[in-house]
Amino acid sequence: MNELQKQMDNLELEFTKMVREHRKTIYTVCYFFSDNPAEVDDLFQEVLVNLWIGYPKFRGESSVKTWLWRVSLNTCCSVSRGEKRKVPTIPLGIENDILSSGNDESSQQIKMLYDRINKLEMFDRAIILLWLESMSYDEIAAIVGLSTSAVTSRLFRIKEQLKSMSNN
Amino acid sequence: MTDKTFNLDELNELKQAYQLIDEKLDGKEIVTPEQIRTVTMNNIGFLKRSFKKDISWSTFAFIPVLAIWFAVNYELTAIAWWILGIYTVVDAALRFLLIRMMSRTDHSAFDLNTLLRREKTYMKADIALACLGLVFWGTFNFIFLNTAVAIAFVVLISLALITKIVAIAKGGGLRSWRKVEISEPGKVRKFFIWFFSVILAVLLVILLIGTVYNSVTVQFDPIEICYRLSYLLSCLLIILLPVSDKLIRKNASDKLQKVTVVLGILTIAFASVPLIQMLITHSAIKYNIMFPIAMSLIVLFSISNRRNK
Repeated sequence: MNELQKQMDNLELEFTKMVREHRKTIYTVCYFFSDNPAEVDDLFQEVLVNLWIGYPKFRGESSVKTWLWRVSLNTCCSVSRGEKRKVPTIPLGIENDILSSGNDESSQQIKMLYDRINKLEMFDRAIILLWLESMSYDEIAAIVGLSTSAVTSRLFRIKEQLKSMSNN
Repeated sequence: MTDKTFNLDELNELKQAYQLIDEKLDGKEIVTPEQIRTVTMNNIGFLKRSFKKDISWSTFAFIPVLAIWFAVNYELTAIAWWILGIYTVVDAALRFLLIRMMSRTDHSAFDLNTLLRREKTYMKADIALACLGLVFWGTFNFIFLNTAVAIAFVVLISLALITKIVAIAKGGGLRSWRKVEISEPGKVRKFFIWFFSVILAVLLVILLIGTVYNSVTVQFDPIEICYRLSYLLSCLLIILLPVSDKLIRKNASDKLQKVTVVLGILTIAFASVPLIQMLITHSAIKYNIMFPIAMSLIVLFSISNRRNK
């Protein structure tokens, strides 16, 4: 029993360490799936829970970062699609205004990026986020479950869409 | 900040803006280890998560309605009670299985495309169960109770289902009082919206003809008229819901929403007349008068839900 407890404690420690190392990634994904601070909180927690559920099965076949992106995007898309299934969550008090606050040029640049990406469909939003993260087309294809050629053509279409938003 | 200074024709600008997020978040605490532990451990239990997440409040709200309905229909035979019991157990087991499958989905095991496809299948299964319920309860009432009760019951379940599909399923549980993106309904949802609307429209016409016929041929009874009017209005109300849903997406629903609110209040007012009369005269309360009231409240709730978005 003690041995099991020890294993659990180790797993928990490893998990906490991993989440803290990659918290920026999780936060960024959540941020792009909601403009509401409370919802970002909820999404963050949903991602954490799903990461914890999948963590013992994570074999390291892909990089931690790819795995994390997959779980975060899957969770955010899933939750955003089925708004009805909201889980009452504990307020985390995440500093949600980190990105939205400020009138400096960089804050406004981020806001514009955010506004435009949010006009995209959920699936396209996931793809463009992965592209912005400088992932290869193969990695994007593996995460979203499309062929590399489908990702290429879809990305082309999304970029065109973003350009047209700019022109408008 | 204008499009001139942020030229999206050069898509690399997007990447630069994205990297700014990274810089801004650098060194920020965001979450503490203690928060991570609390959140994951508090939400991990399957049942706990499922009850919070997958079992909608409307499912629970339906149970007392059913209980009241059958409690007043004392003429049910022993066979009817057996059928009822077996169906309830089977339905609950199927729902539990579905919820278990939904809750246990490992988000790390699938790619996004597969995950979304699976979730769509679960949603279809959920709707299929609801439709099965509608067919079962309708048939059950027609066989074991009288036709009038069966019609009223089909109206009730249709109202509940259409409200769930159109309003609640999209707007979300009791705490979703905030902004939610209203999506264009898919083919399945569109089909159900129109299917139930047609059922309700037919029932509406039947009730209307019945009301007119009764008021002309039979002795004029204002209480009965109020009772029927409340049913008529609640049907009309629920038919208006998909239309207003469509208009919401076009940002042109304000007038229709006001009409819906007025209709909802009128329905409650009409339904209250026979209810008050029953209370004053100490006569046996007909519980089916509660249905238009309950349905109007659900519709008003979903409307206020939207207004707050």
